[in-house]
Amino acid sequence: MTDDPILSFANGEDITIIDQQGKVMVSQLGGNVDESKTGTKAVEVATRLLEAVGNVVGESNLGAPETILIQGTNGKFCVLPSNDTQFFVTLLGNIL
Amino acid sequence: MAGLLDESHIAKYVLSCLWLRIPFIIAEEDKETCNSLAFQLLEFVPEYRQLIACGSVPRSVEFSMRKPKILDTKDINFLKESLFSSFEEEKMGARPIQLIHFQSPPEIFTSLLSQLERGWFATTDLGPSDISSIIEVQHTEKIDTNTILFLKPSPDFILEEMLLEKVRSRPAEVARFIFQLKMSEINLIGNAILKEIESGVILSQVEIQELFEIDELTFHRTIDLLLSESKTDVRAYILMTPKNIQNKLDKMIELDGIYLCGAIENEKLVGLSKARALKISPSKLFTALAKIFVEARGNYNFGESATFAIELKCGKKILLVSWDSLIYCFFTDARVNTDLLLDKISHFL
Repeated sequence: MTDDPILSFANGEDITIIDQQGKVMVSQLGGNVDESKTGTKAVEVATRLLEAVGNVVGESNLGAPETILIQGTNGKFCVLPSNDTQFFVTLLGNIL
Repeated sequence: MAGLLDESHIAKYVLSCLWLRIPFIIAEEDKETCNSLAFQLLEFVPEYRQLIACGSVPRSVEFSMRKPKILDTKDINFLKESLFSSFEEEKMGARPIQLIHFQSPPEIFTSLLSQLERGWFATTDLGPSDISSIIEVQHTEKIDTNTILFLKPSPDFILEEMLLEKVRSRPAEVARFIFQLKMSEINLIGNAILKEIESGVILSQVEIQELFEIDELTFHRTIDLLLSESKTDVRAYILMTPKNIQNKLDKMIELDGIYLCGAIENEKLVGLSKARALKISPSKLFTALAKIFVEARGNYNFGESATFAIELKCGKKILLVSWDSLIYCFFTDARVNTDLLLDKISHFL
């Protein structure tokens, strides 16, 4: 068990939290995972997602997304915009 | 005599036959009363159809506003040839015709009308039993002293019922206007659908209903009329909503907090159920998000099934759930608990 509330939240599963610059803020990944590559890819995917989703919902006059989450049986990928230009990405589970 | 619209239980049959070009016969010994009913029906022949009158055409019809084309001949073979060629021309884009044969004798039924499968009605002073011995009759209805003999099984008349309800207690001219407006609307939609299909565009039933802002009933009438008037069965070119999927969506929409739910197959919205009217285009919104979802899934290994959830700042939520080859889409209130909803939805999948 860990005292870190985020790692504790992950409940033993792999978890990574990345800031918009691709910097891994919190990580608990099994095996040999390149944190830098993980961070870069997550930011790329999140940027594309935010832009594409933002365009679609904007065209429908539904404003902007608050959070975007993709989850499957293996884990979750979550984008949490913190303001108009910044966001965090959370990877949870074995989705890499 | 009573007006046709006062007898709404019969009017719905007659008007749907007339609109769908299903043949019928008005039998009445008294020529005046018989023609009076036929004259009322003329008002409900779609304006875009070419009206052709034959037989003992009353002067009131000959000089009516509809200006029918009169085929004044006693030569049955010539008449037959003219009408057959008019029906053939419909396939090449000519206006669909509506034939009315007045005071038809037995030989007209045997040699001509019985061979025309659609687009006519006739008046006659023959008795119902005499007609039944010449031509197969499915069922009969009475309006005053007139007997209407229907030659085909009853068509779907829900649309007529709705329109008749709408025009109840309205002046005859308003009733005529409302019917003609709907008939013209459906004709224009049908022509537009044909042009889209001819240009190679594949449309789904939901997209058509959304594009033309029509309900399911109007959609099906449009498709039926395209078959009846231009002999084109467009069903093969349209992604029709599968009944089993629509049934699932109709059950899902009853869950708390869901405003809209739809199903996407091959990047097309093939089914939709609405709990309330919204100022958004579901096919545009859902298909665009489904594309993003499919692309995003390719970046990570999420496993067999996956969910795409977007919480919006406006207090709404969009959920896309992939299941088999379909993506089910939901537009909900943000307060809806995603996991709980997914659990409930899974019972319907």
